[in-house]
Amino acid sequence: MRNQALPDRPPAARAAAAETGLAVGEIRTGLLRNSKALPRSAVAELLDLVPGEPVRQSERPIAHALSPDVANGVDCQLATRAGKSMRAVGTILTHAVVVGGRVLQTSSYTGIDSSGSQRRLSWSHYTAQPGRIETFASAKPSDLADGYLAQGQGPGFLDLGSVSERLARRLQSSAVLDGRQPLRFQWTRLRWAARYGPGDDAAEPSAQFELVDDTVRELSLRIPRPPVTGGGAVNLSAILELCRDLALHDWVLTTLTRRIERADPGSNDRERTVAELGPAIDHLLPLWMPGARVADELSAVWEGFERRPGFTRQWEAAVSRVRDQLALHTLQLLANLSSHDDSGDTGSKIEL
Amino acid sequence: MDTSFREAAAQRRTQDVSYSHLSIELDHLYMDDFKLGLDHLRKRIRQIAPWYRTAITAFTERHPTPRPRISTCFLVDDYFSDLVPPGKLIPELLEAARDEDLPIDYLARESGCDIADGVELAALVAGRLVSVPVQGTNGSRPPTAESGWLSNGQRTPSTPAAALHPRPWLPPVEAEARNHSIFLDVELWDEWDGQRRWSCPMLAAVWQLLRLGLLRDHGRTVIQPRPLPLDLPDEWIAMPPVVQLNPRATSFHGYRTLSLLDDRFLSIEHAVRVILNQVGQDSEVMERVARRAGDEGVPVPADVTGRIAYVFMTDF
Repeated sequence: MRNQALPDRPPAARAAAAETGLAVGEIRTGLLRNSKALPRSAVAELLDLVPGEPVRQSERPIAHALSPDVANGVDCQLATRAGKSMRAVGTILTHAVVVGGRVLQTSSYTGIDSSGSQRRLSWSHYTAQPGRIETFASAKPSDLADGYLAQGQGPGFLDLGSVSERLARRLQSSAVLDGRQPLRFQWTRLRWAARYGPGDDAAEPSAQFELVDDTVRELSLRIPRPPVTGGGAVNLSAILELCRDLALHDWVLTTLTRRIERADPGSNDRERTVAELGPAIDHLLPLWMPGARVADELSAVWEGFERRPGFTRQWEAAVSRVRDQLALHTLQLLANLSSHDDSGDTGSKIEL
Repeated sequence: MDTSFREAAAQRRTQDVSYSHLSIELDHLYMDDFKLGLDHLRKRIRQIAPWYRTAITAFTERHPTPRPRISTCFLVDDYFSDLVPPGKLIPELLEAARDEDLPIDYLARESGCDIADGVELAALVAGRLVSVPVQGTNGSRPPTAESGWLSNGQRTPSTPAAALHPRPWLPPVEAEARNHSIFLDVELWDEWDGQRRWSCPMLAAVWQLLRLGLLRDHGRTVIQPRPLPLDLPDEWIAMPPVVQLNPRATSFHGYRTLSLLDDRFLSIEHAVRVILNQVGQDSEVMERVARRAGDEGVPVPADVTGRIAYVFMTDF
């Protein structure tokens, strides 16, 4: 487990909601099934999920596109820390993001109001504010956050992962894509829970990121002073952006390091090593821009993770290994060339 | 140094509209009603007038404000038939209304609830439907959707006709049943000459959302009432979706709506509510409307169907 307490931040410009809010979500990250980077217009077509709602695209510092949210209704169980469960009703939201025309992320999330509604209300109550579920019994947000992360995929419990996965599958079969996977990789799943706002146990901001296994990650966030929107409400989009950014960079780093292991640089077959690393250079290296889209109020989380474990440190080490392999390969080719020259063979060509 | 960088395509701006306190719909007539002539029209309008006056009194007593803003509107059914041209229908309607002292501020055509100024409104609303979940829905399975239909619960599970051991019949379930179910399955559209034809309840649901000022297309408002054309066209499709007949009228949009309808529309409005309950709203628009109405001392219910009132008139 990587545990990181973050330094305190100056007070936010506006006072956020006085109570502690809770949001949970699950993000799938992988590569689009397309041999090249998808152009901007095709990305817009792919992510046009809701009529009348725009796909939000930006170009700096990297091409980024965010689909509108699709809502789904749930009436299911939520786990609490003590292993108990309680019924909750409401709507969850799912959106998709394409980064650099290459990476696809599908992200499902919901805010949880745990003040205790006692009963199920008219459905119009829930559709009036999509992206919120309400528990019947009252519960502490910290209990529900721990319960969500601990409960895994128990039957009957809120299953945001399946919703994200269905959207990913649907998008991957889109006619906009050429269907060719550019390199072998594994999808990652990031399950996250974020508590925000002051509340009784407000302390310093903190974040815990855990690599549960090869593909599953967990992120627990506590943000006493979250960014707020112009209207003074908590800006949940900024928290979602942070979670997606962490999921993206964890995936890129994981995929590149696995690629290097696969390429087996220790072997003497440098030709094969370089062939293995080629797609990684094309598809992964342009993606590394940690925290570039993260709100100022939340940048402390990235800064904390950069100190320990040091994502960028590991990334730079991995990129150096890739470049070293290329340099060695080039030197070898040049050496071969000069030995050919010595033997008077002038007809050889360099093929990289 | 203070620097700032923005990309317009990364933003979504939400346009505000102005609101009356109440939007009153004065009856709804089929084209067949208009074919019955001016006397029939007068009779219908005479029937509405006392309910209209009562409605104004009831609303202003319930929500006292220094200057109540109430606008009225009339929806012409031109979507399922286009029998009486605007040049004949509008003068007759206005004459009958004037005789009964019933002000009609806005006139809308029902086909405008399908497409208004190039925006496919019915498709836009259909794209925001969030089916009501039955207990146990946790996201692990895709929502069960029958294309073109929307119910208020869970349908009877289907059994293959040729099954050797057919399952015993299971009743449908209303998701919000109080002890017993009133299950309703609403047809949203069918295909007609290869074209999608929206159902009356679907268009009426769009109509309610239009009046409540809750619909946006890429953040922009979708209805801008326009003055009555000087030369009335022969076809309804050539008319603006919403025409402002009274230049001094308060806004077409209302924080709340009231529809004075003949009781033949009871089942349609039940279906409308089943649809409206399941439309995922634009959170930002909802927040702004609630804040503005609250600031004006006429707070609105948090949910959309709570803002919609009816008087069903029976010929008695």
